[in-house]
Amino acid sequence: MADWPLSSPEDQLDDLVNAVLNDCANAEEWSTLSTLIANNPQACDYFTTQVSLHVKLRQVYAKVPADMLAPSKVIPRHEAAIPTPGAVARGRGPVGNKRAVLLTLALAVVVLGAFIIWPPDVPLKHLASITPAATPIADIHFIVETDVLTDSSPVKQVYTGERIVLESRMAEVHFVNGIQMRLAAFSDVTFEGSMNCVLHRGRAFVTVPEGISGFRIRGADVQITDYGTEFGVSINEDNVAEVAVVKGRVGVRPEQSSTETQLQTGQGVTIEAGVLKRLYFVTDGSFPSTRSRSDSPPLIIDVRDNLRDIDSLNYYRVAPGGFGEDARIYVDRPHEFNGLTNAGLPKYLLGADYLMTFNDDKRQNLLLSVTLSQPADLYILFDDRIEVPAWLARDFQQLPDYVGIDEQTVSTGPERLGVGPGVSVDKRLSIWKKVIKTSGTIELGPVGAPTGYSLMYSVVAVPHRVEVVERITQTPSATVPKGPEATDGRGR
Amino acid sequence: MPTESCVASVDESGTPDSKTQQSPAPQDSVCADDIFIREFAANQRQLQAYIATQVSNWEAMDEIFQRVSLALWMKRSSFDVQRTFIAWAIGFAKIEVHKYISEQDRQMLTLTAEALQAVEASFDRSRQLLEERVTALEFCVARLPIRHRQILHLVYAEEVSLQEIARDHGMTPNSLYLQLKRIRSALWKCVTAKVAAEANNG
Repeated sequence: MADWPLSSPEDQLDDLVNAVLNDCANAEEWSTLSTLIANNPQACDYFTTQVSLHVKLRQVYAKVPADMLAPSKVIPRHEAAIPTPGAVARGRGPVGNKRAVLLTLALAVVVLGAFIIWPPDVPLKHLASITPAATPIADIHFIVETDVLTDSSPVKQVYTGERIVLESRMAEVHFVNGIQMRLAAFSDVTFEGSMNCVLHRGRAFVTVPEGISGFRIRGADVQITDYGTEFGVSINEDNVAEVAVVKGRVGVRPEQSSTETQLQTGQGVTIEAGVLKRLYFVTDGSFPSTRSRSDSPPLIIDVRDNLRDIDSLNYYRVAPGGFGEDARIYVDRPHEFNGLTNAGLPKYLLGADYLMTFNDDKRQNLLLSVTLSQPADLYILFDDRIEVPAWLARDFQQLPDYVGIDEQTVSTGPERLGVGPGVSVDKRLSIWKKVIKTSGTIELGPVGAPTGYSLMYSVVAVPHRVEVVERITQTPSATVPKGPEATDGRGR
Repeated sequence: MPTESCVASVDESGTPDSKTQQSPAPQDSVCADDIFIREFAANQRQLQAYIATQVSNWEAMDEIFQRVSLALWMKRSSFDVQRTFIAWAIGFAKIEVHKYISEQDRQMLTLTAEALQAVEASFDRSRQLLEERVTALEFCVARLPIRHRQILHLVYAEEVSLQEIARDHGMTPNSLYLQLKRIRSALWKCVTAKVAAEANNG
């Protein structure tokens, strides 16, 4: 089972818990949830906490019936089978009336106590009365270090026409229509309404809920229109804009053009002086979508290929520190990395930087150039079913370990992604290593002879630690610890 | 030790035992009732939460909770103050949930026996933590955006289906589900972080 960090419960578990809380879980979902919580104390803890919060929220928000204090409303409704206090008082049951009233009052005190301590929120219809000047279109929360807690007060309500400049901190804007926009520090935005903004400078990541379309961000030279999606946008001091779609669809139109270019998941563009150009790659830090999971400077700093022309809309993604269980493998597929067995992924790869490639790039003429910022252990994760190409066998050393792939396939009916190591693993990738001793660009070749079933390789990089390698190579072979550095590079 | 009386037990230093911190009182069952009511009040929400882990609609939860409340009251004389109240009450809740489910015409969906065991263990293991998280909820709800607090009010104040709420407020059901999921996730992150932060601060 997945040993997920406390701050990120698995999507599957989250979906199942929400289905139960929303009273719409089907038999399969109850069964899957049961399996998860029976086998994973963390999942169980998540479930019991969410249910406890659910009960508390209901207790706080539910209206108190006027007759709540009346004992007859608290005692069970099955009057024929269980005596009511009224019946007890008339001598038809074993429970004394005084005691039933005590119990009833205790119940009432507890329920009402919650209201006294924490009154229900202002309902929608009362909103206008507490904001006499105008209705806010959003509020802004600054994000503090934990990325979880916001400042102690909702920092600011935003009204139409306001211009906000973030001086030093990242912030999240929550529009009343459900749209969320995360802004990087130093961003400068004018809010023209809940569906229109001007980004004068800075970086934003926008999440638009389903059912809403047409949210628009304008820059000096470009207009970006959302059609239900998640996307990032950045505009620098020179008014060069970058737009990348993480999910869904976005339209991009240079200011002087009447033509809108449609971008879909995994596509992006650079807009410079009104001209669309290729956006080669996006890292976790390009937009304030999530915080980089790595504290180190990025290892993979540039990616180029010979497959796409300058007008290509598809971009590579680099995930600094992102390699781990259930990490997405490809830009163009939802497949995930997973440990082949419950033992998990090889430890030397956990937390590594990796490049999300295109699974469609299984062409014989591919030349992929990856630029590294420092010496690194570079790993190629290669489909174990296909012939190893000459460049890989020549330049890299095979390690004894494997990485599993959890595929989401629809070819034989929809198959959901599993959670955690050893679960729902469909294929395996062999691991090939090369020590890159200086920073610079390394060129990687094609997958090899294309087949109908092969998978594109993945590129993973870990900072090279010279002292460790030297120590290991100086150790007598009899005492060399068993591990990737100690193998003959071919053992399976 | 069944709650036959409410006489305060006193330890060697003469301090009343925390489990029976009532003032010395006559040995009558009224004082035992006081203990019972105090324990019931303190554990009521956890008991409801335990029931809610197995039945997902409020009507069923309320019905079972009321049955359990009455059963506990009827059997209060067997409550042993040396045991935790919630563990004792969960025993009754298990029976009432099972009875309720077996009474339904249509088979009700619920957790498997193995999962239920894990849930019980979790309530037992994390009782204090759960209580701290629930206490932190107020702090976290106050920090939600306006829109999210409005959605919570809609969902929890009116016990109507999410489909109806979505329809009445111009949302698609999917959009409401997603927003609710996001809100719950944010609350969970917030309460766990808040409790952890308070633990670190001593």
